[in-house]
Amino acid sequence: MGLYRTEALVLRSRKYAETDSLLTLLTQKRGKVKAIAKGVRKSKSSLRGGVQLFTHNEMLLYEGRNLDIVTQSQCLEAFTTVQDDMAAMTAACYWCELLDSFVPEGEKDIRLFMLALAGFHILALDYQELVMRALEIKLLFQLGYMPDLVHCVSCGRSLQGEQQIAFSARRGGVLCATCLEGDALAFTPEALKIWQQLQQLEFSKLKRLKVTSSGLHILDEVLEKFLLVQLERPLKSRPILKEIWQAKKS
Amino acid sequence: MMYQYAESLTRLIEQFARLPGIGPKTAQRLAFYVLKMEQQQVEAFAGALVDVKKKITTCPVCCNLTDVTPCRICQDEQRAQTQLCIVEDAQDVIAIEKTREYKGLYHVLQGRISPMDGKGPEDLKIKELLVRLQQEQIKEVVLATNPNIEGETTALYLSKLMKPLGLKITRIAHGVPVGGDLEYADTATLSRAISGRREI
Repeated sequence: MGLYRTEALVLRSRKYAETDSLLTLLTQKRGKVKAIAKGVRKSKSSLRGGVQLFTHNEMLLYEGRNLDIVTQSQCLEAFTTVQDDMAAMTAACYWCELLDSFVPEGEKDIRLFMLALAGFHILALDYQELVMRALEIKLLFQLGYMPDLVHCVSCGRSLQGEQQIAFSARRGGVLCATCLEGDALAFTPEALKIWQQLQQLEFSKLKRLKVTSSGLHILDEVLEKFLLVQLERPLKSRPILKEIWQAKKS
Repeated sequence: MMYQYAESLTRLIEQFARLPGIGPKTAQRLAFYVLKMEQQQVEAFAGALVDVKKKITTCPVCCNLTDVTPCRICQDEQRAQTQLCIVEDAQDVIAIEKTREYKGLYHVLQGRISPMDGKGPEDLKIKELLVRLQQEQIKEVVLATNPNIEGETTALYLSKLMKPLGLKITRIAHGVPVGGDLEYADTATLSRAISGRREI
């Protein structure tokens, strides 16, 4: 119990009581935390600038029994580029929903915090689809949800150099041609390679990656199913983000 | 057998407990308060509940809540027929009306673009808006969605959508609140307040 100071990203903000907001924060020191920001919906609130959605803040929080209370907050970075573009804003929503859904409460993880922060910096870039796929994969990797991409999850045979492969979201990995099952998804060596590259590459080198739209499409389908199986519910903003990308292309 | 409240009282408690923010204890307290109220008051209360559900509908023109069709604002010919203020919810109309600054028409979107809640542009009253822009003599559109991320994005989306129509599109000003403190204003607000400064 007591006060603690930490850097925090605001992942979610909901109206609470008359003028409060209930925030979901990803903090550097305490992992995912739920906190109340009191009176921030009043126009004269001094706290308001530091508790806005999609911002990186330095916060002073008071540890409560159930919910913590934001006592002071200063905005370090507001990611204003996110606000200027519909696709970027939706991507930010999706990134926050992804983090909120997968990250367990109260577990400190500096690497995860750095990944989340990096995500906000790069999600407004123009090769956004690739960025989002990279973020999804890196998040899964960071949290230990990675599927087996090297061996067939059914017979255990190494699939190196194999051309005919499929992906089973339910079993969590790739399948060889002989073990193919009914609900397996189409997967190609190219999509597999993109997955591995996205997992390893630094964000600064993403732009250099050469990918075909079909490879990216297959990866998207596979990831969508894999996220659904892991989470056991669909992510609300994912289809909206896809629609916006579609509209942008046409 | 354990004694429980009479059936009608239990029913009332259950009904109160359905309201947002009201737990079983508060529901009980409210139900007992109703018992203590005078007959006339209770009837007025019950009547108001039934009435509001029966009479209040959505205006087919501006999508605001109304008891007449079209709503009183849409009917009022004294209002500037060339100005249209777009707001998120019906409460926002009342907030702007209280200022007595704005004398034009309204359009209520009934929400905002909020991907996290699974709400995209097609869940808002945008089709109705586009029909109005074609049929009415609107010359200026004032975007008065909330100044938060979701409201800004909604405004941005609408401005892009309406740009080809050749209308004057304006956004309500952002700035430091009256009685506020510059020290506590966030950088986004302050930078907008400075870029939107005006001569006095």
